[in-house]
Amino acid sequence: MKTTTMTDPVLELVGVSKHYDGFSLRDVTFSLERGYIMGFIGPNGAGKSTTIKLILNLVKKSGGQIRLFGLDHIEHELEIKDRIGFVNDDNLYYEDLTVREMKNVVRGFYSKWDEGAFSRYLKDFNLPSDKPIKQLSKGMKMKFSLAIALSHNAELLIMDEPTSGLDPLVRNELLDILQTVIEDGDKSVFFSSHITSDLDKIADYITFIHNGSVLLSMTKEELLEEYCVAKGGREALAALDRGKLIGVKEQAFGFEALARREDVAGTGAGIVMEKPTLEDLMLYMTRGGTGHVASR
Amino acid sequence: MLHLVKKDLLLQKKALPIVAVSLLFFAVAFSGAGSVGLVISTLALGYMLVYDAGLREDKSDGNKLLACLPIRKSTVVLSKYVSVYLYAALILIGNAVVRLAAVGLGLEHYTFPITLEGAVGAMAALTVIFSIFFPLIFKLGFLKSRTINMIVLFVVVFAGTWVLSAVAERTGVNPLEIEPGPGVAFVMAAAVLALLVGSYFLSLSFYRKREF
Amino acid sequence: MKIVLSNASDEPLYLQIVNQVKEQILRGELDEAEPLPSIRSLAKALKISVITTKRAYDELEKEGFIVTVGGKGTYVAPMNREMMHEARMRAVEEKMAEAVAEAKRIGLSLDHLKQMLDIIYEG
Repeated sequence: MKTTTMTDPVLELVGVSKHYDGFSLRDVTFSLERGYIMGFIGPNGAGKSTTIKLILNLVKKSGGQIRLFGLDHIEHELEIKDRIGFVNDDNLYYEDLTVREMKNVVRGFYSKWDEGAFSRYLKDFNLPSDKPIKQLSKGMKMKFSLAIALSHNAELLIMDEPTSGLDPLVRNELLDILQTVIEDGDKSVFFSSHITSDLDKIADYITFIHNGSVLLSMTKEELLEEYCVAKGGREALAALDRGKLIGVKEQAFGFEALARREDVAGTGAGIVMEKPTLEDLMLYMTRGGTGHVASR
Repeated sequence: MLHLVKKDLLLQKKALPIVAVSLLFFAVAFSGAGSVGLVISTLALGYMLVYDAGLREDKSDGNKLLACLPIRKSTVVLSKYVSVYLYAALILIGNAVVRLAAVGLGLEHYTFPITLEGAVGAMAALTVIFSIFFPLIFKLGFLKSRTINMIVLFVVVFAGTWVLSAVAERTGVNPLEIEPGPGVAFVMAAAVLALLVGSYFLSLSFYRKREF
Repeated sequence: MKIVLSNASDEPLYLQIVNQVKEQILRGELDEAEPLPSIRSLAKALKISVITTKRAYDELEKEGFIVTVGGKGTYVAPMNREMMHEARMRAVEEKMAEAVAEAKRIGLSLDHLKQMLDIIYEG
């Protein structure tokens, strides 16, 4: 029987695919080590939610392997689900039940439920115990999901667009909480979002998906070091190999594009190289519709 | 699994007044039907209760939630079957209370009697009906299966009563009042049980294949 | 320990941390054997990735400014006076090299440069 070790990646996808009528997820491969936050970014419709549904076995994959804590996600489905917490963008919990009632329904299924932790989160988040869930604001609903997700000693938190529709204050609170979660180095977070400014700050790893394919998966450090936003005049553009530029946008006075620093540095001609944000990454890589990573 | 059954009950807090009123309504409406009154009441109210919980759950994407929690699919399916009998027990108690009150107030001919045959018949009918309903429910969800199942329910109840009265007319004997011999009773019970078990496995197989 | 990071600057975050910590050590603002925050708590305080702080600490350790005692934590490395003095001298040299380069660019002579140095030193 396969046993899990602390050195296994907490989440691992290899060649995962899923075919729908209008859309396919192809050859999705990436992994997340213990103790880190992975930002899963991509424009709407890129396949983020589908990927998460595949991980949780809510839909059946067409091919590939998915492992959590070193265990196959279908063979050990129950054990895995006992060890993960999840937060969705639309509330999954029964709207008619109160916070307390819903908690009591859920707690019975987790082997390591921590009532003390839940009470603390209720207090910290200011969640009213006896209010029906449908009466909570969107931000409160997300906090409720989070409180549940963090109250059963979960080792991996899977979050599917948890911040959409939330104001910056709540989003900031969430980031703080997530960084506290990984502070002991034992827990990990998988955070999918199309609002990249949140991940700009705290993500350790970034996996970028577009049109059903993973375009890149690496540490944010490597990403920022490898890529830059190149800006320059039109003559500068002429001096560059266009094949190496991603998402080129030409304007009256010049151009801007995403590129590998090594492809642009040293060509002189007054090209400015700026640190890209994740939003830049998304914008340039998806410009033109197909999205691609420039050939080496 | 009991948590799940409890959850279904909690979800129906709002529906209980309607169910109580309906219970009263059926008690009076079918007062002339004798023992069969209990059967019809149980079927109708059972359908209402199961569907009310189920629809509320479907509306909140409850199945998706259950699929994310560490719960076996077999547990989810089992809990729904078990809940049917819980409802049956509650309906029985409710009807018994109504009957007792009616008798106490001297209004007994306004309600149907509670008899052993009625109770057994109610359980059997419920089992048969839900053995047919559940596979469809687990395949399509409560929302989509509602129309089909409602039709099935009506057909069974009306065709059933029509057939029974036709037989009663032809043979002069009301089949419901025949006391079946132990042999026949055993065969009938075994058949119903087999139907139930078959239904459970079919439901489970459909539910396992469903995507959320 | 004080760290102020600028996202607008093109300098990589980890390097900003390295430079700021180095400076504080060299200026004596951080004492020998003073404990530093763990890479994770630093990441949390600065709201940046843990990988960035790890990289900064790795770099600082490589250059001999900090030392990690397995299981106990990270501390400012013992720096002897000579090393610190040398490091400071190097900083001055670097600045002088910058000034010389700039001077050459605008065509200043060495004599002129020395005159300017006198004035600045006295002033």
